[in-house]
Amino acid sequence: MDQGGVLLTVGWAGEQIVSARVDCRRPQAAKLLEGRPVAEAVALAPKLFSLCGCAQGAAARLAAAAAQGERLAVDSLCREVAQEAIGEHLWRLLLDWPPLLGLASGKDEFLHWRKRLLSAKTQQDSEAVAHDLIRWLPSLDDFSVSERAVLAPAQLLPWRDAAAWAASGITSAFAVAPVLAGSPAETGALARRSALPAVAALLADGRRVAARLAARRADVEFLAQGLLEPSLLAGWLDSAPAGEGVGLARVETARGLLLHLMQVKDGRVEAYVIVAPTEWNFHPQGAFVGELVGKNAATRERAAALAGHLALALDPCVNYEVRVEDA
Amino acid sequence: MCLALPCKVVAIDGDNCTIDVSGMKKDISLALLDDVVIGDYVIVHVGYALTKLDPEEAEKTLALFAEMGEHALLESAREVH
Repeated sequence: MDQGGVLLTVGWAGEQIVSARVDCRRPQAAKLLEGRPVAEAVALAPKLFSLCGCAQGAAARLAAAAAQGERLAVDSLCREVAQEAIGEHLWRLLLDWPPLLGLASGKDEFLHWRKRLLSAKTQQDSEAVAHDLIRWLPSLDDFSVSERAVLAPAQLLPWRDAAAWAASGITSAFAVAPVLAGSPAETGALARRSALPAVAALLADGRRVAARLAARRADVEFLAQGLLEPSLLAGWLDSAPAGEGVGLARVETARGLLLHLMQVKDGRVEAYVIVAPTEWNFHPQGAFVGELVGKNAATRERAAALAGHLALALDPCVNYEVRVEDA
Repeated sequence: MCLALPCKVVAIDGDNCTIDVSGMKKDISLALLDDVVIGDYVIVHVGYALTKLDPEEAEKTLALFAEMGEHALLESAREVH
């Protein structure tokens, strides 16, 4: 039996989902970087992670620079991170969502965009891809997911700069179950785009899964605009010192906020903490649990489908498995 | 933070291939990559080979993950779909 990264156990009582539990088993990869010379740790960071290697690499470079009192030019970092995030969004929108909703996979379109994004190495290349993406986006299916949330969901994580996070007491315990002002919060495209009228209208209607899909599309458009006009991406990543020899980097990713905290002593990494978006959204009392409980589901299959839709909308960066148990 | 565990390609059948990850065999799609041959190392996510690695780099990454211990390595191997 497969033991995926996140196990989502749903308690179903005939008509309704009455409980949800998240079990996360993930190796603490940041520990591998501790004790190494700073340059080696920075070179290794992007190789440890399969999905957001650019974002992880950018965060490591920014954190190392901040820890050592240096400044980094972020323009080209921003461009690479934005292209990676677009690719991740398109993976969900073209490969993962259509089969869940009984639609045909957009595999050929995904392959087309992925190849173009990966081969765009200059500002000029990026602008060409961005132009074409913006023209193509309106043709993307909007999926019309109608599921509604019943209970008050987790708060949306507000935008905060690296200096604010540097003063927030980031530790390895925080990284396992992060909270803001003591409460779990949702990070990702919805948190970034909740003020857009189309997204806000879906939220007001309780259609939070649909709101996340709309926010994801809006995020693709924003990022493509940012490739054309780099100043738009100014808030996408930054860094700040977090004490003597300690640097904190903040990088937005497709899935949400990524934080790296690096403590440097005598040119070596003394401590390294990575706070990934999945830990916010799949917090034991976070958005997944808070939103699923209370939903009506006439059958076990429906309960499993609702859990699967919500999990994909919240987009864990590891594999997940849904189990429905009688409650 | 899905770990980038290098997986060795042991058989290829058109657009699909079989990988060996810590002794476990899995069938995945090669649709995202060109020019993969038997013996190459790839990074895999949800059924797709994402990137091709040069063998030296792959060995280094595998050695690095091995430092996390056998248990953690097996955990991440099971996460590869």
